Amino acid sequence: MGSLFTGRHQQIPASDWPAALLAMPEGGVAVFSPAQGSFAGRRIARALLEEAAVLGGGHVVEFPGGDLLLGATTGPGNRARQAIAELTGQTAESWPLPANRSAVKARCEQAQAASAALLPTLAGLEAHCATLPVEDLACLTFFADGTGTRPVAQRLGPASLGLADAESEAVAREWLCRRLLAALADPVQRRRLPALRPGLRLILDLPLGGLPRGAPLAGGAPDDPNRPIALLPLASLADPGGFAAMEAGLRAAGWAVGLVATDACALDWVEAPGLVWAVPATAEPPAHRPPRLIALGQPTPGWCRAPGILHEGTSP
Amino acid sequence: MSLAVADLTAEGNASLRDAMALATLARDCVASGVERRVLHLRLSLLPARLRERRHQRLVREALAPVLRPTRARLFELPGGDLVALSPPPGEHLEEVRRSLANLLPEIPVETLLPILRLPAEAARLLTLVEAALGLHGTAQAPAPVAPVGLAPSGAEMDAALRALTTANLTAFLRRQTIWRLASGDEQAEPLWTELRPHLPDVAAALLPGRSLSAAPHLARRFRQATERRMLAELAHPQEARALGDACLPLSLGAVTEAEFLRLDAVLGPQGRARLVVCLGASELLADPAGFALVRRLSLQRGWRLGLDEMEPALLPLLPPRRLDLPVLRLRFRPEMLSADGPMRAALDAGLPEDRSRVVLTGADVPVAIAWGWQRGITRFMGRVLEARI
Repeated sequence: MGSLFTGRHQQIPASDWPAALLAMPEGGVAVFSPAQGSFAGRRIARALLEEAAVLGGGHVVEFPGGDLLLGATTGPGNRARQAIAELTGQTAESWPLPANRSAVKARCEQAQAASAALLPTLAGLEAHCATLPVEDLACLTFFADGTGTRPVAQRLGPASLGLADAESEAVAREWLCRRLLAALADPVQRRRLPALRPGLRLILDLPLGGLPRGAPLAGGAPDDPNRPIALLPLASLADPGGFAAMEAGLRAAGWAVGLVATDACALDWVEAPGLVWAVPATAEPPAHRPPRLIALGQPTPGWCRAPGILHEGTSP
Repeated sequence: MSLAVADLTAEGNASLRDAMALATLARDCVASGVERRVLHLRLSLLPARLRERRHQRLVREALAPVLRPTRARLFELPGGDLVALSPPPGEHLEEVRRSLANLLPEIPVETLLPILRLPAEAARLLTLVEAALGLHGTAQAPAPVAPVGLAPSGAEMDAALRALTTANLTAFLRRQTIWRLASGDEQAEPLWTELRPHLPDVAAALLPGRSLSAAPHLARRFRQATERRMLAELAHPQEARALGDACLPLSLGAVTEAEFLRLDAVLGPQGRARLVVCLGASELLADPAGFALVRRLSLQRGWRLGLDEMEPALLPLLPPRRLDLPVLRLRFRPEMLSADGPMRAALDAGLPEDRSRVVLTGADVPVAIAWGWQRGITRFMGRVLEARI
């Protein structure tokens, strides 16, 4: 994926971290915030550390991999660390000084060696999605029902590029879903996609626009409990009228209709009666549990082994 | 600073209330099946020479049979038309009609003084109420011609986004006031100034001949880059100090970028308390985790987060009681007036209980204000308030 990441994030040279380490206030604290989670969360962590640097007399060093180091007086340093944890759920390390100076130095040496975390440009992302071999376009995952362990359903969805930016990932999903539909419609390309298992209910990811007119994808009978499920991105609800029309079209063609969200908190906010929900499973059950749920990801939390929930399992 | 709002004060208020009461009555007749006769006095059709004080007095005299209590109800509409409503057979209405026809023979009686029957002709009555409220004038305004063009390629987009990092957006910024105006207020009170870059113009300048509407994901990127540029300017200490009570409608991506975070830091606690950041409902749907992060950020930093671009149709999908945000910007749509009983009930049930959280945007016609007032909404943004400066 090297060619994909051509745009560089703006960075402050990290080579002077030894000087920064020397300048850290005695009796203060070194806060080391590893590059984890979304880019949005990392930028917020950086802003909080910079604020602490202003208040606590230090400055922020950014390492090539995106790790951040702050030396500051204890109060502002620890408050920033706590704020980062509350906001992003990521834990920054806190090293009291001067006792841990050598440990911080070792941590910095390690961070100096990390490679750059970069965001793809749009052109790079587009090219990557356009040239990805058909074999790598899609992922086939299997789902068991309720307390069972035997797969009853299979999801053919776009490959995840693992980008730390939700928007880029959504754009890629859109491009990949369209290619996936085109590949399904073409007998030659279709053979290069992961082979669907006969007898398992199909869950298919669709792009924002739904199923194109005349797509050679058969649904089931309207009362067939095993009719295929079309998963539309949650973003498609933004146009309720368009969504209703798309939903009606899919149902008429013999599909069950579902929404796929990138985070389970959507369940708490969005009311979508009659639709199947597919969300990454959280450790705790959501406050608002829809009657029909597809829990994505592994391992499966215990609460997902319940009636009405399809949860991800291993291949048959 | 406070501005007089001519149409919505004193007399204007009364006729607005009359119009809304008449619309409600018409719907109630439909719902209950109760019959009424309606005499519409289209006094707005009279030429100026027939509107002199002398004529007005004569008209008032002719109206006497319906002005007596318990016989009929009289409604005065914005624009000067009167509507008298009575149970059938409505002989007083006929009496008034005859004497007015004698008084004003210049205009055929069918045109000047039509009689309507409720509930059968409720739709016609609603139409004339809406026309009196100025709704139709706006509805008939020509829609802007959508630019036809291809979506920009990824490379073209990247070039435009690069250009945006240094572009001067001053000429593209739009300011609009959000007002508080309660029924009976003489003057509207400004609450916040909304500040946003005018995206179509920015796009026309940087991506000539290309259409962003053809590619929503590219449009999002473009919007975000434009907002980042605006925020970079606002984050200069001098600009930030002058920001005051501001409402920034932003994309989700822009709120977690360095430019906004710098503005957030420069504003300090007092400045942040006066800031409202509004994120579109579509942003929440596209990235719920990102929205949750921004919401936590708003709570920790002390600015208010609002949900923007809420359409009536989205209210049941994103119930405010589930989201519990301090500001909800609901777009006024003419369909909100013509909605039938169940739809109106659903819409009303979807509003947050605390109506002071609601800002009705797109209030371009007086009826939007009246619609809001009926529901206890007192915060508005739109041409009907802006035009009176």
